[in-house]
Amino acid sequence: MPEAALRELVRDTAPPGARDTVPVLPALGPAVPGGLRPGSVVGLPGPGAASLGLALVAGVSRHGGEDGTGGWCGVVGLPEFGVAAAAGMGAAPERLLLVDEPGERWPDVVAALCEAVDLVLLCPPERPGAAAVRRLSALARKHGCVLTLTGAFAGDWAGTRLRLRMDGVVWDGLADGHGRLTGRRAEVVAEGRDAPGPGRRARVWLPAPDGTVKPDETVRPPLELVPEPVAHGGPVHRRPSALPPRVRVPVEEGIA
Amino acid sequence: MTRVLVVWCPDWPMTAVGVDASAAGAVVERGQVAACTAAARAEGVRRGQRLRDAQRRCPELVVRERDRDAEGRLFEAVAGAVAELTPRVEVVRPGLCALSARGPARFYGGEEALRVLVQDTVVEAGYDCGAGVADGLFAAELAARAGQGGVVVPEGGAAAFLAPYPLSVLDRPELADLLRRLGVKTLGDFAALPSGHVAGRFGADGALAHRLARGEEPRPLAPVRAPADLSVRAAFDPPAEQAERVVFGAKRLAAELHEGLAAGGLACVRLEVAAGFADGRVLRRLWRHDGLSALAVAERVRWQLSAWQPQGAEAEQVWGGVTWLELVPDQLVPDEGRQEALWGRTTVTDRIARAADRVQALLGHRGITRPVLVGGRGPGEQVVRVPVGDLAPADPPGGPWPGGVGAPAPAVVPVSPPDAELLDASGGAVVVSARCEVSAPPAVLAVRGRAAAVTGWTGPWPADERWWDPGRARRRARFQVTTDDGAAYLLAVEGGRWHVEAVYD
Repeated sequence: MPEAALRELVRDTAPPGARDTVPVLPALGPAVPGGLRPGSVVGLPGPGAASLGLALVAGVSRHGGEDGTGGWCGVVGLPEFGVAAAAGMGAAPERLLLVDEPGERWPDVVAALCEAVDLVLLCPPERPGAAAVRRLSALARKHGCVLTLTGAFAGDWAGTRLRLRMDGVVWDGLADGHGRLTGRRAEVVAEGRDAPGPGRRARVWLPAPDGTVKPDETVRPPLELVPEPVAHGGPVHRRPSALPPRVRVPVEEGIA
Repeated sequence: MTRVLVVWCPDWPMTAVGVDASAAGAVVERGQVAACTAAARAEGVRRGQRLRDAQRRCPELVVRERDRDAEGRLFEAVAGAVAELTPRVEVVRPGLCALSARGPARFYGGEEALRVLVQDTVVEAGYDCGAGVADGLFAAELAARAGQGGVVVPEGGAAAFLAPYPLSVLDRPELADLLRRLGVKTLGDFAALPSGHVAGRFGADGALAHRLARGEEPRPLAPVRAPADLSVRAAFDPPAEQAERVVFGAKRLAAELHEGLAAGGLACVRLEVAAGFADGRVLRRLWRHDGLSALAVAERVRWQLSAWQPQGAEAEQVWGGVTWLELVPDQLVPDEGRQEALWGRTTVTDRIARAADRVQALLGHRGITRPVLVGGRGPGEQVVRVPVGDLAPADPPGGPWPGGVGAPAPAVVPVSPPDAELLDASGGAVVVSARCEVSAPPAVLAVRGRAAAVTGWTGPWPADERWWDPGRARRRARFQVTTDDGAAYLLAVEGGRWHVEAVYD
């Protein structure tokens, strides 16, 4: 077997923990380029946390691989987790593990899941103690599992490398007494140490009318000045020229 | 040839769901009749019929959903009654149990005497049954069904006894169909074919059926000597008073047992489950194993325990909880390979299974679940949470759900919907009339004390579900509402009260 093929084989059989990044949905690419760093802690404070959590879970879960060895997610302390919405975004429900009521044993539950799954979405039922934060962050780092915090105590986790939130939310499809919700346009803002400076932004449909997450390309370019003066209230559009089409004469024939 | 006595309770699924044998009744599974009473059979109801067809033939049919747990649990009473006469009763499946007849027949004075005694005992316990004695399990089961309450087939007479039966009793529809077209109609015809040719034409399964038809053991018993004691045992300290804890331990034990068997390349035909109680009593039962999964073994343990529990609170005090549990493989045979994935299509790595086991050890069997999408109108009805290791429901997710809430699905689906207040511009509550007219356009939505102005709304979408079943009927109207703080809600009004069914966070 040639050496190159062997190398390829070795790369394919590398353990899942050795991956470089944890994948995210393509639409979130501009905000989280390349994916999440394994073993990092992601915070979801503020509005839109539930949908962002679903989108992160969907991003990991749909990259399951043929053998199903990767792409498992754990959801701890979120009995209201919208499985149908996650499935709409592309998550595989058969690779989700839900622990709805962990109670006060939640650190032990997260510790057990950290060793196995690629992403844990956690809503701590109480203010996390410093010891639990240190222990779970270390475990996540060791096993390359992304710890995603949501809920009221999402901001209390020391060492959060990335915070995601939504900005400029516009719901589409609903009018005064008719229509139905079709989708939401929003700007996903990534801030924190992994997105230095003013942060990174991505305009997305979250969710799009079909339930998926798509990049939002409906933003119109800013208005431009029309160079020609508008005369007598006529239409702004430039009329097609009234000149007859020019006839091109082949060069060889020449003009006598 | 082993002499086998079989106790067969007719229409056991019907008995288990509590339908009287004299009433026309049927249990259904996935819309098809799984079993029916004799009265229903007289009206033309058959197994495998669609429910609609059955009800057309017999309009007064009492229909119940099949309850396999109850079948297993209730049959414990029958097995227990038989075990009073002779130990080592083997439960082949709920509704059918078997025991070796040779020893007990000598003790009770003949096979016919034993047969009548067993039958009387079970009838005294309150269950109708037939009992039959013959060579081998297959012939004995048919003997139990023959005549009025069963017959004794003399030793060596199994082939002659089986000869007039149709091929359908083999429970191999494809083979029976093929043979019928070849002109072979009865077991006797089939048994007359040379066995070598049968094996060549119909393969291993055909050869097995041929042995059955000739009144021989389905497979030559090849009990091998166990190289070591393969039984596994777990102790509970303090004694387990909850069945859950024992069942959870049983699951782990079963996995251990299977590992031990697999290491020796063995499979066991039967499994003895023994549970010891704090006061020294032991509850033993044999179960047919035949490639059960660890989960199915745990399920047998649950049946065995739940049969003991209904005796009331004083039984628990006297017996004092389970102190140990032992699984003993019985009748070991070489493993010929039989592998089924426990988790369905998705393979589960050891890593995941280990983590799930640890969480279950912390929080109990139902602590960690996997979601399964099923059909439903509301967002809360579309997901069923199945404890890890349990089998998912077989409901197809498709099907039209008129009046269902369309895509996109909401991100937050509260388990118990919080109350809300929807007010119109004048501060009065918005009311939906019986004809689905909205009293005034909503202007303010207050959830958990926080009020926000309504920027867009739509509805009402009426949903009148299960109106045919007063206990579970629900009548409500749904609204979608967006507020000026950027949130969107799915509201439902039911009986004049508003609540937040889901949030599009």
